[in-house]
Amino acid sequence: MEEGIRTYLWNLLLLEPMVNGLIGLYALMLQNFGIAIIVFTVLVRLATMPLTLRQTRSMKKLQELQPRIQELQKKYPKDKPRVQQEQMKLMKEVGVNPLGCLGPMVIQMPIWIGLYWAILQALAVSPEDLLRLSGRLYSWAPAINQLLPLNAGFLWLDLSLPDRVFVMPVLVGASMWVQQKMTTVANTDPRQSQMNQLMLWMMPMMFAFFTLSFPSGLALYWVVSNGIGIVIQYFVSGWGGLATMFKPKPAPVEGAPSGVAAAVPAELKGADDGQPGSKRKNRRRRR
Amino acid sequence: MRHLHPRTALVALGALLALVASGCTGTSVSIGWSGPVASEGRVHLGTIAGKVVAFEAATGRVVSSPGGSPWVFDIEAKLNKRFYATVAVAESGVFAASYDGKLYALDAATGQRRWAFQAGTKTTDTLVGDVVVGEGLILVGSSDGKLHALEATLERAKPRWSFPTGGKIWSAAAVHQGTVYVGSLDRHLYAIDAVTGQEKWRFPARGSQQRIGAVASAPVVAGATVYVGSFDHKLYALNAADGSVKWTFDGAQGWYWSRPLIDGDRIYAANLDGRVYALRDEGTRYSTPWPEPAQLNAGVRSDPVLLGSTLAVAGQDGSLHFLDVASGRQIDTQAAGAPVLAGLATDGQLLFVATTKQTLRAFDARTRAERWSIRTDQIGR
Repeated sequence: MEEGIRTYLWNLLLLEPMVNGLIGLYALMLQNFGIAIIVFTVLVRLATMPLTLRQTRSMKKLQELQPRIQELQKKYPKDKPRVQQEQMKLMKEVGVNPLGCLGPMVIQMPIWIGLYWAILQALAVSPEDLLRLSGRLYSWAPAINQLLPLNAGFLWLDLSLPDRVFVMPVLVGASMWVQQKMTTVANTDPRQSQMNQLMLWMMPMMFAFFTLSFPSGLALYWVVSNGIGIVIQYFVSGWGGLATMFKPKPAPVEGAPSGVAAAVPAELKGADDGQPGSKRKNRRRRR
Repeated sequence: MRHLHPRTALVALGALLALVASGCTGTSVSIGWSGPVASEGRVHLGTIAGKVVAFEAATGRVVSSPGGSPWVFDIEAKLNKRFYATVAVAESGVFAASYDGKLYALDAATGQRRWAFQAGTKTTDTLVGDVVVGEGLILVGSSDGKLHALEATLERAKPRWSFPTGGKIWSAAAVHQGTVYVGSLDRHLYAIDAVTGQEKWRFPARGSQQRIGAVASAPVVAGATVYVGSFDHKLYALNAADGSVKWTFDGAQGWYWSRPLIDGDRIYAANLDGRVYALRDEGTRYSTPWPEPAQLNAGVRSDPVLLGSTLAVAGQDGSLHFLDVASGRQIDTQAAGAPVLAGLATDGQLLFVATTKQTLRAFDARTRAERWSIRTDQIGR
């Protein structure tokens, strides 16, 4: 019963408005579903922008704190409880809450998932999909019914089928990787670093793999959504981990700081490291 | 506020990402919904498991062929192994259109394959609309947008013509007095010359300002009129000769995907809005013989059947409704046990229902009590 109510509310509040909105947009975009997906994804991402910004900023704060946490680990190498205690103190001092980035993400998640399902249902690949779609349409907007099934052609793609030339899987994987890489910071803790690496590759590979068998309309949504994510990330914290990729690694110099100290971002040390993000930050600081 | 350990936060973040991944990895659903066909003491069914089976109508047992082996044909496809199209049973044999894009001709006595015809070229060129045999032709619409006409013979596949439309053909065709009628998801109903395969007319006509919805519902021809429902919530009565509109019924609030049932001057049309509408054809207009449409619990995709003076209709929620044809009043209901999307069938004695949970059930047409039930997914294993 409870499950039924949850499904009913999910459909009523999220899925049905999105499906009908998407089809309405399709009508406005001269019955081009590819453009409708792009515009709809942009609109939804704009609507959730405050949450995305909050999440990105919280994540950045947390990342900036990493070198200081690593310093603590170096200071008390054999006293884990002490490290934890000091870490808590440090976070409290700076006002960082790891949940700060999870909260907005939790709120956005149903919207992303709803958008995903709306695209999938609007495309209605199988007879059952089309049948299910009929139950999602607003009866007070009968004009929508005359548009179905949607024309799924867009550029070289049939949006209801996987991309046969494999461009979309590559774009999905690459855009997701770039976005993840931008949020990853260098870490001297090998276990932490390994975990970061795993996260960096796992999701892009997974989604690129999904794209091989999913309708390319969904791939289009993922690429656009990732693209917007990259732009937001850039304006909040610059290229992040991506920038370090293209920098030549300095040769180890005798007496130079190593390990934790070397991993501390320049902006925390008060210097300009030449990254777009930190330049902006320094400008703001000067103002 | 209590602060989380960064590692805990990372694990939580990973769990969230996994949740997003799982929420965003569902894909389209395709199960199948082919209906039974009753004739000469047998019931033929294309199953969701991709087999064509002949059952004894009285008992539900699988028919034994003259050689003693069960009358079961397995399409053995690797992809899209299921049936949406209800099979056609003719004197010459049994014709089954599978979702894998092939039309199979089976020996009526043994169920052995005589030939197979590939309707399209791609894996997406699936067959959904029911197979129709009439006027010497086997007719099947394909998702490649073409209506294929073959000679109704078991010797070998002999294609006569194929007629292209602008969208998938998920509707069954109807053939009447030298003309084939078929609906397309390109939002047209076509009338085609049965001999030449040339278009006679289309509705709406070329250059017409009129727009209709997609047509997945099978058209029905009675006398000089073609009746067809559309996704635009309307049921059209058209002149069979030229496709001009005699009248339009726009009282429904959902799509028509069920074949209208004609009984004399009466039309019974079930709709995905969960109602069954009764109309009386009065030439250039219609009247409504029931005080109000029959309200069911769920939308109807299945084709209804007449059991004497009772109309049997199955809803998507798995309920079977028995309506009095005179008043539309509900006489009885039965549970089919699972959603019913396929058309119903009757041999006059029994009512046959195939559910999406791979069960074939038989109900007594008079008492409406269940006579037998069989799991079709276990057959031929």
